[in-house]
Amino acid sequence: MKEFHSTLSRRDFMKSLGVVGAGLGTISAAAPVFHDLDEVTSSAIGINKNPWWVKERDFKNPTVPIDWSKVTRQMGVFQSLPRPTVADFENAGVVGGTSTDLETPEMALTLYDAMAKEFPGWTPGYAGMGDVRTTSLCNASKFMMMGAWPGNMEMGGKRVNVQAAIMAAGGSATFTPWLGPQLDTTTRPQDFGAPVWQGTPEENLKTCRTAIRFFGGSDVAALELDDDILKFIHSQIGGKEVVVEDVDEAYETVTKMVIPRKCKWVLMWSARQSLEGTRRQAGITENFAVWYSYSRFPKVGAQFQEFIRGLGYQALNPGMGGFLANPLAALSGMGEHGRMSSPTITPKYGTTNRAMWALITDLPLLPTPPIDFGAYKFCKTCGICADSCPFGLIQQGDPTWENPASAKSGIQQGTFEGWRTNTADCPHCPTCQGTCPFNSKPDSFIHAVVKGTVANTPLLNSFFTNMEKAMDYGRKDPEEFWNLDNDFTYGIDTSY
Amino acid sequence: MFFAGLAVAVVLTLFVVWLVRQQLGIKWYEWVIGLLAVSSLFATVQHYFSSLEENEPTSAWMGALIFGIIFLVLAALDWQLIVRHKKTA
Repeated sequence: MKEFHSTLSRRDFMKSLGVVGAGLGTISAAAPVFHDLDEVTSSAIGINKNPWWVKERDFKNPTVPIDWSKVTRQMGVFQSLPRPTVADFENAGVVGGTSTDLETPEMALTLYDAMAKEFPGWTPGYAGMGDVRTTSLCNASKFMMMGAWPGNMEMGGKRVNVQAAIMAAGGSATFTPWLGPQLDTTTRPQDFGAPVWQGTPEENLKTCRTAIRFFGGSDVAALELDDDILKFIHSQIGGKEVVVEDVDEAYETVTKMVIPRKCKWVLMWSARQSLEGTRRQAGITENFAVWYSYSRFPKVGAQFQEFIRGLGYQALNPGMGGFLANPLAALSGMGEHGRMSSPTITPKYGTTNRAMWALITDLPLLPTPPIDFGAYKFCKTCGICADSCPFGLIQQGDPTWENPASAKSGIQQGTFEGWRTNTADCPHCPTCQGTCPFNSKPDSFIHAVVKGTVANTPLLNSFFTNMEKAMDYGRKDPEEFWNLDNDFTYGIDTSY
Repeated sequence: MFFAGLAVAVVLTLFVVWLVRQQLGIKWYEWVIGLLAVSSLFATVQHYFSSLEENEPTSAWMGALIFGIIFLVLAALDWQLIVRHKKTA
């Protein structure tokens, strides 16, 4: 037995226990505190399986300060640059006229120069989006984008303008109506004398999460639609008034869209776009990662509306132009407000969500509180996205209550202490989205160490920003995309 | 991954048992430094391969360099401490 005697004295042993105890104490102090198991499963952290370093805050108290007294409902007008024509590009002798989102020929040249410097050897190709296969993937991804019916397309040997035909029949340009598709195949229990689905608000939120993931989304959160939250649902959508009325069923006329007062919940749902595609966007505008998301997610939303309808409830779709996503996402605990302003920074996926969309429903849902994982504080010292913007439109410096440079975008001034991108002049170029440090995948242990630290102290934020740059995280050479052997179906790693 | 971890744990345990049986009179702080060195080695390997999986080659080799140097320094320090106090014993 002699050889098994330890050289560790009892005193030394107690010392090491103290070190371990202090470590455990630090971890437990930093970790979210739950009072019982129900609370774990009912929180946004539990519902979405957020990492351990994500903490919850009080309701209506997100990390970004809000002056509720100044927030008012907005009209829902998307201020943007005028869309250039193909002729504008031809006259200027610049390629990319068929691919531009909102870029002018001059902006396109700025982007081509920036991309060529960032990725030596990159050229805009014949359409401003890079080589032929990348251009082809971009264009193929646009099929029925934004839920729009196709224009001219091949049908049995004939060219048919589907959208024009539907509109001539009195339909709309998209399949994403306020009231949902309400297809004949979507039966409702009450129409058959059967009871509607009955679940607790917590069960219902979980049900929504499971359904949204089945359809192709990621996470969910919920808010109670009170007077404060209603301020973030626009007062007009597509020229129609959005009003709350004491009616049983939602309806829509040529002048208004009606929310029944009993539709007291807002369901937020998110969906991710390809990470590898996102950080390889280059050229005149965003790329296939964005286009394919916009092609796929409206269908996810429409089918989810049908799912809620099939439960016996109503689900109203305000559409992308019908609400302010960033405050609703921050208030419901989907993520935090950050420097890029419009995209919400989420703890698991950074800014790579393409859908952060809202539905209004009478299905009772458990409201989820705001979360804090240090993103708002990190953005104060980071600024990588703002530095990357070729047009200098992302606000630099500390968060402010006003940003005159963004005023013409229509974004409210004085209502929150944050960052406001000048979206009115933003041409939707491919750069900033792929630069956010929070986009990182969780494979290496170092990300958990860094994010866990960032969530608890801002002391090392500047160091982490410098390491992010030194280790060359962020955007990658677009050419590499075609040689990746380990990318995923839809480009989405669903293991986290 | 589970079996790789199991194999590493078995090898490490056998190594520690062998060390104890050598009656080197290893001090408690030498154990701590050794543990830190092994952790650094684990960090080097884990970060390198997982960063490659993340398609982050620059991060992979830079991280491996940083954690690898930490491992080498700690391992050399621990080795020297043990060798020297054994000589003086």
